[in-house]
Amino acid sequence: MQAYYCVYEKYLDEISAKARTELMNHPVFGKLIRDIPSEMAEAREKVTRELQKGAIMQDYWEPYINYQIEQGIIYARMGLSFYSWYELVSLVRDYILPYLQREYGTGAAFQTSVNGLNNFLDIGMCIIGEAYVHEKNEKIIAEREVIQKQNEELEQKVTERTLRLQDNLRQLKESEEKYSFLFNSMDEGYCIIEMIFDDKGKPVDYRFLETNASFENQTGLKDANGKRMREFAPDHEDHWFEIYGKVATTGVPVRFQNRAEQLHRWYDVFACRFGAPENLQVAILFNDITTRKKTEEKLQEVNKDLEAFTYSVSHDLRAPLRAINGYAQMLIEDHGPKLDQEGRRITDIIRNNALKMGTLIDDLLAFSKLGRQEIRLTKINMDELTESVLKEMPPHKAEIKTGKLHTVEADYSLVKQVMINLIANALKYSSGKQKPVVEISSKDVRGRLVFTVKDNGAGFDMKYYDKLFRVFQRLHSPAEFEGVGVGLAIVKRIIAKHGGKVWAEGIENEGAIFSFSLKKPKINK
Amino acid sequence: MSMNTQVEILLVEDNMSDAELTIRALNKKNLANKLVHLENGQQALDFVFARGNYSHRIIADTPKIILLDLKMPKMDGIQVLKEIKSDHRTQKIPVIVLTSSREDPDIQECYRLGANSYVVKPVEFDKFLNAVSELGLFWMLINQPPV
Repeated sequence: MQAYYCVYEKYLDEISAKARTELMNHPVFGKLIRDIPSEMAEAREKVTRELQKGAIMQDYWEPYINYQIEQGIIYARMGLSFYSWYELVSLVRDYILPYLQREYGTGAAFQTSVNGLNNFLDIGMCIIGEAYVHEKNEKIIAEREVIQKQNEELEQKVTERTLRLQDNLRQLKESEEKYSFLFNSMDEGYCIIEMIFDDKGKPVDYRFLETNASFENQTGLKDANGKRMREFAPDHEDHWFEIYGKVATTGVPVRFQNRAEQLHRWYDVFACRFGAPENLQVAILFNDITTRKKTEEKLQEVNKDLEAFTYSVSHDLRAPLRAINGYAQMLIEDHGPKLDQEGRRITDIIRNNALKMGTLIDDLLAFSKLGRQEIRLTKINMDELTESVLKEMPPHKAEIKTGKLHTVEADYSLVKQVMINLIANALKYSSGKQKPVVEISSKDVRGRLVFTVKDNGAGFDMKYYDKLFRVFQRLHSPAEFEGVGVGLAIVKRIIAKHGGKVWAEGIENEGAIFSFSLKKPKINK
Repeated sequence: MSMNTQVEILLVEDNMSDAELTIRALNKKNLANKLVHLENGQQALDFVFARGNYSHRIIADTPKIILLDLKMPKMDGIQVLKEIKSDHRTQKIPVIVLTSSREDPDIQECYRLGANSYVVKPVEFDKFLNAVSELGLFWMLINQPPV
């Protein structure tokens, strides 16, 4: 059927025009077409009007004859015609068909339609010769198939895209819901502001464009949307406007902590530019940290008190010690001859213990100071540092073995203190050996630098390991090795402050290995 | 005013034991023969500015050096130092601050206020003796201020 219409449309005008001209000149039919009776003309107009109004359907008034040459007329519909059925049939049979056969041969089948409503007979004709149609058909079918396939593909694509678009839309909606839920359920305050500048370009105020649910709770400002900050707090500190103004104009995000005096609050704030630069809008995420700040202030006060207390204690503890030691010495100096040996021994013990307690107080003070001291990182050549530490050591008979040491980034004086304590320990605890040996080395262990001080001295029993790094804990009696038990605690605290670790291995009477790790500097020489 | 009446060392120290030890140390170096020991800050200021019990003194008759303990009850050493160093009549007197600890945060403050030196009072008597007498000698003999 598709093929039929195609051919029809393509050839109808050409065939019809030629046939119509011949028909007009035909002695019998020409007259029939030209001389339309007046009542027919009226009826035609009536029908045309009806047709224009859509009151009647074309199919029912249009006279139609379907004719196939071999079977005669197989279908004819009269409809509303100005011509009689007989006239139409004879027109087709006696004129049109012979004309077509004459023109196109008898093998062809013809489709004709005769429309009697127009000014003259409008005759549509076409050949539907088998071969011709078939050939056209195949080509057209093939073309149509391609088109159809393309159409289907297109449709498939459109469907897929539509689905994807719907999916995206759904995701977008979900994500929007998620974010809006997040913004409104999170504890942090969030708002978007629009900066207001004076005519000199100085930021003087801002307007709240959007706020989240926590905003009110975090600021104490009600219904802020659309309002200006100065409406709430006319004396809001200038630095707030300066900072946000800078963010709006430069687009560089900032994080800071600041006090808002009029709101009686401290804030931790992150602010970044929102949207196009010319909008001068800033998105602000903030947290009320008033409680934390108050705690911090309190803690600082407590720390200060503690510091004052420590100094006062150290001062007050020293004075009597000084007296004990001083007067004991006076006793020896002024009354020495009157004392016997035992008397002098006892005075010596008094003095020695006073001195020891003095050292203890000094160490304790140094240890407590470590907790507050800030570390200053510098590149340290550990070879040079170790060399200077070794020079400062009291005379000893130990053989010192040092390899090439790694460079570290740490606080010079603190790391030096670590090396002093470890090396002094190694020398002290190996001093009883026939051939004391102290080895100092370093290695890179998976990106961390490990420094080791090894001796062949008294060592220690690993079962007391947990006491090793604790303050005032000792594994040896003062009679064996003097000391107060602060050195390793200081080492541990210093290394911990650098983010490193300290550990040790020991075998009683065979030696000890003390190691600490430090972060590797970014550019290591 | 004669050289005979001039006090060479004013020791301001509330702890009697420390005072005795200090005087003993200075004595050993023959520095304590013209020494005045006062026990609190108020007395020290009265002495230096010739007020109260010391109104018979003359301000211009300044001690050659002042050894000043920081930690004293009531008026402490810092306050004494501040007053001495902020008066043009007395600001040239060398003041050596005595403290119990090298870690004392007041040391910085003392230097800011114009202290000339400080001595940590060590537990060990010998060290104390040396420190005090050396510093005393230094300021009295070498760094004698223009009168």
